[in-house]
Amino acid sequence: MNPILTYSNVTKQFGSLWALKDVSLTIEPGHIVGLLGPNGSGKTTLLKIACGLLCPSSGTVDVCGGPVGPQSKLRISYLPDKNYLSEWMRVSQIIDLFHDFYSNFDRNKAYEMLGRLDISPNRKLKTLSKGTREKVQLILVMSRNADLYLLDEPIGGVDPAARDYILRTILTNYNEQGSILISTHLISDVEKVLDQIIFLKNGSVALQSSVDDVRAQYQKSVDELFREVFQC
Amino acid sequence: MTWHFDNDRPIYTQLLEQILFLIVSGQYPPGSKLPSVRDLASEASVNPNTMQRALTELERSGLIYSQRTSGRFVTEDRAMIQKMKDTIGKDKILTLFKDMEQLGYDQDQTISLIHKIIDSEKAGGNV
Amino acid sequence: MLGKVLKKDFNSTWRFFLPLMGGYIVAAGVGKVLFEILLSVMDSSGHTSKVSEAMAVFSFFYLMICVVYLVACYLMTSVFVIYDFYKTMVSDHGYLTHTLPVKTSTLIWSKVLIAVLWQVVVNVIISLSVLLIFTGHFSQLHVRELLRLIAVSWEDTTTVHSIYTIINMIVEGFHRPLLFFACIALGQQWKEHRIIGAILAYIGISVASQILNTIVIVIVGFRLYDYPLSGYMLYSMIFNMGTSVAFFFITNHMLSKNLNLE
Repeated sequence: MNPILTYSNVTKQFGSLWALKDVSLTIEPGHIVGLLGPNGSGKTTLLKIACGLLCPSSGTVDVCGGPVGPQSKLRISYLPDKNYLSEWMRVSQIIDLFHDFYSNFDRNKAYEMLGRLDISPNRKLKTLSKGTREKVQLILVMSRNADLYLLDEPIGGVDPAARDYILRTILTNYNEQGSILISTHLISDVEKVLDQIIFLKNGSVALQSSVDDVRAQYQKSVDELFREVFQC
Repeated sequence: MTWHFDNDRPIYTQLLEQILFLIVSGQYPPGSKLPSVRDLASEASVNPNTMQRALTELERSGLIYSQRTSGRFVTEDRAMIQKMKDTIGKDKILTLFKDMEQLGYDQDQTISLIHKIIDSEKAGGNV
Repeated sequence: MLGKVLKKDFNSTWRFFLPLMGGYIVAAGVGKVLFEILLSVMDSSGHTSKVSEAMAVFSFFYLMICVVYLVACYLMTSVFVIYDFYKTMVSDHGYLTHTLPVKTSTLIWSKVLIAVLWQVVVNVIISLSVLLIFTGHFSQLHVRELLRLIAVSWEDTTTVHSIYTIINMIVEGFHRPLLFFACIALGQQWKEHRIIGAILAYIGISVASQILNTIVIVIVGFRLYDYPLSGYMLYSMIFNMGTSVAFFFITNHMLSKNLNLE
């Protein structure tokens, strides 16, 4: 099968700071991959480059056989670690907006998930709590039948009880022919939903492996291995 | 049932054990249909590929079989399930003996302690 | 896709313009009433009471405030256009804008067209309000005299000149927002001081065009007040057109090939 996402020798420099150093990576279809690394290791930068929100200083990114552009943006469903929706909008208006632009957006699925979470579509975003707003964003992202889901810290801002809900939402809603790349530093919470992991250290790939290979080889969880690799 | 995972072993082997337990304990009766990979994975909050791998291993052992269109089923071969159950039971008892040995009981002492507990339970009290 | 982007941009901008222009229309309506009162007081100048004098003073000041409001409408149009572009293209909302499956050039086109639309709306409403104020009093304004003046200026005016004026207005309508957009797009290159970057870009572009213009005038030796259409007027219009195109390409390049969202 052709890879969904390929980074070839990608480097990103912010002034004198190297956010990414010569990263080459391949994501195959049908996997849930954990992009793991401490804060500032380049996880967000890596995701933003695939979305076209940042341009690499050198190297290329290939999404489903094409460059980053309108086509790749249709295939990628991206959850940023920011509030990127306009506060004045109602939830239903945002759903209309997504429906307008993304041909792979499933409006019924979105309303179903909203209903299950008891979020009224008539609410304005500014009246929702931070956690609820994050859930709305996740619902929008997971209601798309995309080839690649890029989720930046999807469980970062919510309480442990909501984490399980979010992980289950991701598991039950993603397109199985597609892949998910989840960036996080809360490894123990997501470890079981991953089948592959990428360790990012100071802007370089330190390890790419399958979760069960790590456990079989080191007799420890990815979380424990992570703590060892990134020991301060 | 709640799914629990230890840190020091691959997740798929632990899934395999836990599904095996569901089968031999009768929660998935012989001949019954198993939930889909996706549903099972979601229930256990694990990766579908990992769940798939555990089920493939179970299929290889013959305890479950898949029908191309209608999904996966628990075997109807009760003798095979019983045999598996015995194996697990035996393992548990051997583990118990080992633990008791560490406490200083030999096997006979362990057994007589077990009898004592059973008798007092029958008498209606909890020792 | 342009249609969808236009719809999105229209939806996010009318919320600014509706209260601004709605308020203006109400203020102009009240102004009309007060203007009538003011005139009637002046008509009956023979026996003015203290009350009507106070009323006249109040009406006068009110109309002054209306004029300030009118100027503010023009200013706020630019402010809103800049604010919307900044907010949706280079701030956190850019995460949504730039992950839509739309070409960057389409996004910019939509912003430009929406900016032009609001400029037109504001201009039309303000012109109509001025007309409203004077409705019913054209006779008092010595309309015949006024018309004569207009006719005189029209006699001097050639078709070429009026076409020039119209085209120049259109060019200006595109030129201004594109200048702002280019400045913001250039400003987002600075990682931390994006707004300062945009202001510096604005100053830089202004100084550069001034210098360029001066050089061109000196070299070509335009006579500034040729009639009906001086070489300089033609030159400055073409200059604005050219820079508008350049601003578009700068914005497009910066937001597609050099996007750096924080």
